[in-house]
Amino acid sequence: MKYHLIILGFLAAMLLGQNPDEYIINGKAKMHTAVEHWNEQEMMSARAHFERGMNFGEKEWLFRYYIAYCNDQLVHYYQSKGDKKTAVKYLNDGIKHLNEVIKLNKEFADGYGLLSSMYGEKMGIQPWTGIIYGSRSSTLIRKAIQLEPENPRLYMIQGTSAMFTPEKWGGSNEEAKRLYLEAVELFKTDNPSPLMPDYGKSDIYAWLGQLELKMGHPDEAKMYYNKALEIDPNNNWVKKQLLPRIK
Amino acid sequence: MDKMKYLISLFLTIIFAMGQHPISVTGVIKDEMGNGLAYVNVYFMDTLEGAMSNKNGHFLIRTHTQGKRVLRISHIGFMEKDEILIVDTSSIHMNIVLEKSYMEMDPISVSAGSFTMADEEGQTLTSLDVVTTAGAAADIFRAVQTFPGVNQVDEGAGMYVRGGDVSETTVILDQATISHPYKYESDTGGYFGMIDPFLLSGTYFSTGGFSAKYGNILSGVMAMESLDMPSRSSITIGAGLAAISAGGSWVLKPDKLAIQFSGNYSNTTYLFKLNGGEERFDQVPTSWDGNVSTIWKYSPFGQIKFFHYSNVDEIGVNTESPTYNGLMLNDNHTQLSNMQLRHLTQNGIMIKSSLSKNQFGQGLTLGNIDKELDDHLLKWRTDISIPMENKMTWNAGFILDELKTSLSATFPKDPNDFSPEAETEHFNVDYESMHYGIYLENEYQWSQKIFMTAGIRTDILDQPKQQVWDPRLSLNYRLSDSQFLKIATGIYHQYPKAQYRDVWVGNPDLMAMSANHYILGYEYKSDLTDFKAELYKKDYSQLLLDDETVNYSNDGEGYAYGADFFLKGTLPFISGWISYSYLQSKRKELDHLELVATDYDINHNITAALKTQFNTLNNAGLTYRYTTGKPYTPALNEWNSERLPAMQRLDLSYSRLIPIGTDGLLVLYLSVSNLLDKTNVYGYFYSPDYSERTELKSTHGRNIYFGFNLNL
Repeated sequence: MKYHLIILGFLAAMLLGQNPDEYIINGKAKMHTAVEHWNEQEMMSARAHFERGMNFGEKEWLFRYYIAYCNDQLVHYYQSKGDKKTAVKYLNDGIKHLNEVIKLNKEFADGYGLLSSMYGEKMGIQPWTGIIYGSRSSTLIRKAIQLEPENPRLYMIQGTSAMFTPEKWGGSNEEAKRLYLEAVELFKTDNPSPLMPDYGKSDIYAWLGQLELKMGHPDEAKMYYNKALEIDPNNNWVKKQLLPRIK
Repeated sequence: MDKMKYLISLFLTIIFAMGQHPISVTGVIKDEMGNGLAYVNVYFMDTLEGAMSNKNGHFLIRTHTQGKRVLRISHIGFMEKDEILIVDTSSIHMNIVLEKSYMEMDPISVSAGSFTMADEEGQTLTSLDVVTTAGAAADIFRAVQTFPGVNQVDEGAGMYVRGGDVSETTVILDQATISHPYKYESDTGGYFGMIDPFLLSGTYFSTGGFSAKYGNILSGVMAMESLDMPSRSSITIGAGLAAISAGGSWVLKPDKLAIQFSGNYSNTTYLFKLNGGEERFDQVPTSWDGNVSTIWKYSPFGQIKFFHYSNVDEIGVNTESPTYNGLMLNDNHTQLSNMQLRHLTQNGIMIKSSLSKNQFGQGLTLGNIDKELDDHLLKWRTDISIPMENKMTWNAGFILDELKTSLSATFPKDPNDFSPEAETEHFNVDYESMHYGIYLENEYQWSQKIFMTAGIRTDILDQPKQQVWDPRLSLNYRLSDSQFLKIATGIYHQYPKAQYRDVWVGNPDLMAMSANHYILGYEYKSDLTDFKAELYKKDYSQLLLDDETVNYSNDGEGYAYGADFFLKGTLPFISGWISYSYLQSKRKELDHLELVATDYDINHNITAALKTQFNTLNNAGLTYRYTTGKPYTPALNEWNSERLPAMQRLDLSYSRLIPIGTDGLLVLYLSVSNLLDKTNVYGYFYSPDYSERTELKSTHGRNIYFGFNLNL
């Protein structure tokens, strides 16, 4: 019997090709490249990779998280192309996956964080939905920070929320900057396991740059964008979209 | 050595198999219009083999694995599809058409006449909605009264659903029936609902056409689910002008074992001192209630929940009537204990079973009326839901309950004469009965556009022995992404209350009362808007009618018809809902020996419940209600021939949220109810010859209430 199990295990490994951890790490690399290339087909391919990964029958929460993460990148992509309708489809699907993620793993701070961020994006597309999603988004990010107070991505999300929320609804550029700078500090010591989300090291400067631009400081914005490119020279979001906007 | 040979040969077999030429699975994926679909994920469910379609919808997968296999085709915006393939040595070509998918949280499975409430997106009313609805006094029953199809006949929380009496709506918590669901219980229901909205995780409310799961009820269902496993320990304390409360949850083992508890003490002395009206009470309304629940998750797929609730309330009102000026004293006590098991088997079968005991006691005195009631309801209910292939689900269940009622009462022979010297009659009722119910129901999604629920139930009563059969059907048809047409119909039965079945003062041969429901509805639902319009008709038969020889007969009859409209939406800076109900309800029932308008026949009822946020931390709400007058009887045998004046009421509320730390929240609130200080008349007390009358009016004029709630 023992031998049968060994053979079956071997057979499964042969058929599936790799273990889920390796598979997730490959998927992350795939998505990273796709975002660098800002290529729809590659992003879709990375999303499909994680969707197939659900066949492992384990770590469902993490596979769902990465599906949602791919969706989030696709939302940015479609918004940049002016295709709001498709963006909303991917946003809704991402929210659906993340609601499952936080049911499956109640301690996964990045799950709450990304969900908060996606609700924020929903408000960005349809501002009047703030009355519904505003408090939900802030509750989620508070919960995430309570779980992992040292996670820099969460402060980046909270900072972005503070930047885009109108002042009368509690938004503040100063608060956004404070949160972004806190994230910058935390990124210096951020060293998550290769399986876990690790995005943001370069993006945090992209956000700081956007904030400076919003506050009317183009030189500082340019400085931060360049800083982002120092960390990730292939950051096409900064290179092809943000930097060219500064005259 | 033999084992080693076996291993080597098996290994070589696998290697050989892997070395075979791969088999090609190719195909083209199109939408219903015949256009090729790009970036569709196509993959086998037993391996990681898969591909993504190209811009024209073509795909190619090379696989080494033969046999019967499932190929999944998945693409956002389209229905996921599984194709079963027999993969052998020859290549396979497929033409696949994907159907457009509709919103995930669509209401296709929510039948006509129903609302669902939970703290989830897409639900009609969340706990926060209940608490922030002005005038609802954080009471779920009062919040539901703002829905169409529910008439408010006085200032209480009684639910009169689509021309049905308050006793024709059943209230269920975790499968257990709450036989007396109101605080300060009265003939029209009670002043508040028994269960705090913060003890609930979700509520289903139906104004008719409900499924075969619910029996022994004629008009409406409110089925609530108590809170699930808390994610963290917490403490809540609150205090207001008339109440103090404390509660908390204690997680003993995360996601395994937790205890939740709460307690409230309410005393309205200071409320009436501030707002006036204290002189109307000899004993101001006072209540105690407490709740404790334990949840044990014995596996990821099963849990046992124990829920216990106790309530004691009393009130002493100075009453004025043409025959009696004096005190009406009412005290009630309720106990509900429920043990519920929920288990999900590996093949997706959900089993829910609950054993509950509900005890209610009431003492009431008013003039010559003296009533002592004691009700015991022991109930075992089990529901099983079996998902099948092809989007079909079978639901089945049974209910077994034992009711013991003990009623000792003295009533005036003339129902309008409460004077101590009036002639009275006394009776004692000791009644016991067993009720059995069983149902079978099929939910089937015929296509993306049609969802059907068909079921049948039978209920058996042992005293007097009788059996009724209730077939039910609901059909939902999707007109477009966001528009639905709904039809529901069915037969509904309800056994008369114990006192009507008593040998001496009732009729032990009474049969179940009956109603046929017919509902036609339309719904438009999007992310931010929900609009419902429904037309309905209910035909009643076998209603109870006063009878000189046998006390009561089943010769009563009646009907109700009407239209309900509900619009919930969100605009910049304002959200809320508006509901309008039109109703015509007539019955020949009890002492109304002809077909006349019912006591609760309120023809027009409009409610607007609006909320706004000044920013995320400051909320304000407004609720306005207008209802046309309900009927009353101005003279002997002229049953319900006149109508009371129309009633209107405006309530305001304001709350400020103050976050404390990372997870704590302090809520400060202020409400002004009946802002316009309207004194509404809800009825008259008449003298026996109808020559004199006094008004039964609002107990509250303009009323201010404030308090806080702290959650840590």
